Amino acid sequence: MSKVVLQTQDLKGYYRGTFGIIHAVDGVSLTVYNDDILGLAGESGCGKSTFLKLITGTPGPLLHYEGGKIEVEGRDIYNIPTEELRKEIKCNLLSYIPQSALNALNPTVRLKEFVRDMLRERAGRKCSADEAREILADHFKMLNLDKHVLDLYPHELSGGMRQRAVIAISTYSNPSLLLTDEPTSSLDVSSQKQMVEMLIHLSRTRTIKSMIISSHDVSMLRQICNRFAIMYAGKIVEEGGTEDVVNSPLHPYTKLLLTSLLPLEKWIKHEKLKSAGGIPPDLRNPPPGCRFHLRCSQCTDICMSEMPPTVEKNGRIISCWLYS
Amino acid sequence: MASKDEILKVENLTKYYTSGYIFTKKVMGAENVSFSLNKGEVLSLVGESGSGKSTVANMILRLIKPTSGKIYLGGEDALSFDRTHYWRKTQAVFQDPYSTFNYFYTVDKVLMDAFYLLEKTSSGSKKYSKTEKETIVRSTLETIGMDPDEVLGRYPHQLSGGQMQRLLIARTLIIEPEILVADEPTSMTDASTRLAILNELLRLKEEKGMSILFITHDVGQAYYISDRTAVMQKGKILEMGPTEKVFFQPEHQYTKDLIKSVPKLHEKWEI
Amino acid sequence: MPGRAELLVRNRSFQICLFIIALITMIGVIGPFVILNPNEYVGLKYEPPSLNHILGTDVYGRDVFSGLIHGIRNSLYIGLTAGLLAVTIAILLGGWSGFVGGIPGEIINTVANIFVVLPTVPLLLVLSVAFRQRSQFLVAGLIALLGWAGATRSIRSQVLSLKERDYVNLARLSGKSRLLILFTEIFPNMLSYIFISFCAALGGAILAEAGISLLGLGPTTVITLGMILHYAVATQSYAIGVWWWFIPPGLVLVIYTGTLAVMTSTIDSVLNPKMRRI
Repeated sequence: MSKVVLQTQDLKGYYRGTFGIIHAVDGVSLTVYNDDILGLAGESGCGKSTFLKLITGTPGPLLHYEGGKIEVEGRDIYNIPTEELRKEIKCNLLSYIPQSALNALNPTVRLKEFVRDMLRERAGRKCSADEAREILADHFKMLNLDKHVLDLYPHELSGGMRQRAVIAISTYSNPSLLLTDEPTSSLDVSSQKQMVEMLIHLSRTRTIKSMIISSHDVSMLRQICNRFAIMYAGKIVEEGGTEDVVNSPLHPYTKLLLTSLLPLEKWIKHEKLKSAGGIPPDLRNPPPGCRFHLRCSQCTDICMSEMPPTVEKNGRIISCWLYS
Repeated sequence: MASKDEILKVENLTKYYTSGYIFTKKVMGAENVSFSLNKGEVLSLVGESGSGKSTVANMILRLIKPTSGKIYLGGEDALSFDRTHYWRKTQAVFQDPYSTFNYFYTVDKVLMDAFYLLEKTSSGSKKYSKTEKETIVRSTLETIGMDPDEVLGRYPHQLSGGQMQRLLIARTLIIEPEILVADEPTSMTDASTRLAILNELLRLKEEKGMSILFITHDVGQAYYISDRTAVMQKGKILEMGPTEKVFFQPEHQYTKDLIKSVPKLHEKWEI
Repeated sequence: MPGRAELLVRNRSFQICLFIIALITMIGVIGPFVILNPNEYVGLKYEPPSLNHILGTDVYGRDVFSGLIHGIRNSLYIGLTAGLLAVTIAILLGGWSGFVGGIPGEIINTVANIFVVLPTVPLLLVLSVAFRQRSQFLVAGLIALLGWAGATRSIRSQVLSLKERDYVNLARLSGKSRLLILFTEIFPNMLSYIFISFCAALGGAILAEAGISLLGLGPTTVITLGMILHYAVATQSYAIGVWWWFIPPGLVLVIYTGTLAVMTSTIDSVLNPKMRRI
């Protein structure tokens, strides 16, 4: 039995503000093992970015941890002192790369100076910027990046290069769990492929033990991930191995998501595809019962009133009344 | 010279921008772009950001002036048309719904403005009464499957991106141009509405015989919707032809690389 | 704009500022109908504040309070006229230059840039000397003449940025003329910006008038707050300690323009989408 890197049970996280309370993540239970590359797929607003933010332990300005168990390598991150959270979890175990990380680099600082500061904070290592570059040289070489990239300013690099450099820097300390939110969405098509190659490489060389990648681009995710978790309106609706989920989706929403993706494959033109009307529910007032029932073509009475239970079937986890 | 079927013809369209008064720098927007659009056809312009596809779209819409080159609408030089009459025949749907709707007004204004154009270009100075406008708007919304009471009278921030893009399609239906330039209409909407919008565009082509210039960076969407495709890079058209051929038997190296870099859902890359 | 206007009206800071400004403006508008002649000799000179004369008398034995009320009205009148003039010019020239552009636009921009750099107060003084008799209107006009450039440039830059929005393109595709688009699409989105420019111009104009009046070159036909200060300084009453004469006008000026500044800052923080705190 592989070691458990991350375990959440009924995790809840809400945004609170003058707009009301948005139930962004409303009861998510997930287990990530060593060697897992989990693809967290869903459209914008489903809660996947929020879920990743909650795992980091410091969710951010309006987001609040509302309950549920969450353990990173056995440690309950919301019940430990801040300093331990910072040192142990964030510096060693986790590495979180937010969406548009390529825009988060300080434009007035060369990358090697950024690395120097990072080494000082994370590893307690004092060194000069040039030394910092040398320290990372091997790691960069392994990921097919030239160490001289670090000599440049962020604006001198293309978007794709910047994103890859950020990920390379963040994985230097060999974190157990890499969390990355939409790694390819702001990149050109050619840079996307290079990013995918890098993420696969990270996993194959055991630089990182496990990964959670959140994205709406299922075609991209399936190239890297061995497991998929599909999220809708703050809950996981289906979970399973990549081939299973992609080739024989069970949940009605998963089927909808896969058809509306329009990958470049001949079948999309030959079957007249139908879209389900409607939009995801307003999470300030989630509908009763299954959250997808308003748009589901197979909705029954019980779907409208009661939340379906999560069952396991042949290695797949599914939350739908059709399968209970 | 244009064949009978060609509704739009673009010849050597070039646009470059110069900056600086003393040491001028030239930035190429589009270079010698030539293609034609046939009646009732969907032509996709596919390219990454910066490839010049939006520049070409804006020149065809007469929103910016080309540096050189010609545009022919139905065989006649586009410049021979008075602008308002040109826009009666050529309309657009833009990329960002939140930028296309002025948040000061309700979304109704965009639909009412369509009547402004119709009144201005009508040969007999036709004026639409308030009830007439309302009836037409309601029935148009119903044909595209939207509930008028759900969207009329609302402000842009109260609607979703997908709903707003569909309102723009309703506007197009009211005006009924010959050509619709759709500049990345789905890149800012979520996946499920994307398909609805593409299907609406296909309906415009099939039911109204509209010719559509579809601009996108997403090859899957281009494949789904278009009859012919042109691949652009750095302001130039590199390859053009029937969609099936361009995507599955590409000739230009750039197209080949582009297709290879697009992940497929049911195939795994060898890495 | 819906929703956000409500937020503004409910904002505590805005309510207080508005109250103060409205109060002083009301005093300026209504006061002079109650107190008719500030130039009457009503008492001995330099009488300290008493029940008869709330703010005492000045060097000529005139009631200071009456003078203050009339001064408020005239200062506000000049400030308002100059402010309105400057902002109207700014809307027309700035709007045209930003939206239509081209060579006329560039010319307007260059002229505005030159005017912005001109030293306002020295020029005002020189111009004022050229006229023997100076009415309120003239002074307001002169101030607007030297102050239109700042507002014009800010409005122009705002128009330039809004011009790129897709709703402008969509309006053009609907056959609307440029002028129509400028007034129906662009300006409504700039209302708070225009209002803030107006408040800034108003505050600046009031202070500019006070400045030249202090030096004796303000309007010759009426009394303003600046003129009161001028007389107070000219007769060296501050040395004698006649505080009830020179402190009130200064205080009113400071309170009014200061509150105006705070109010514009509050409006900006509430209505400007980039600065909104959730």
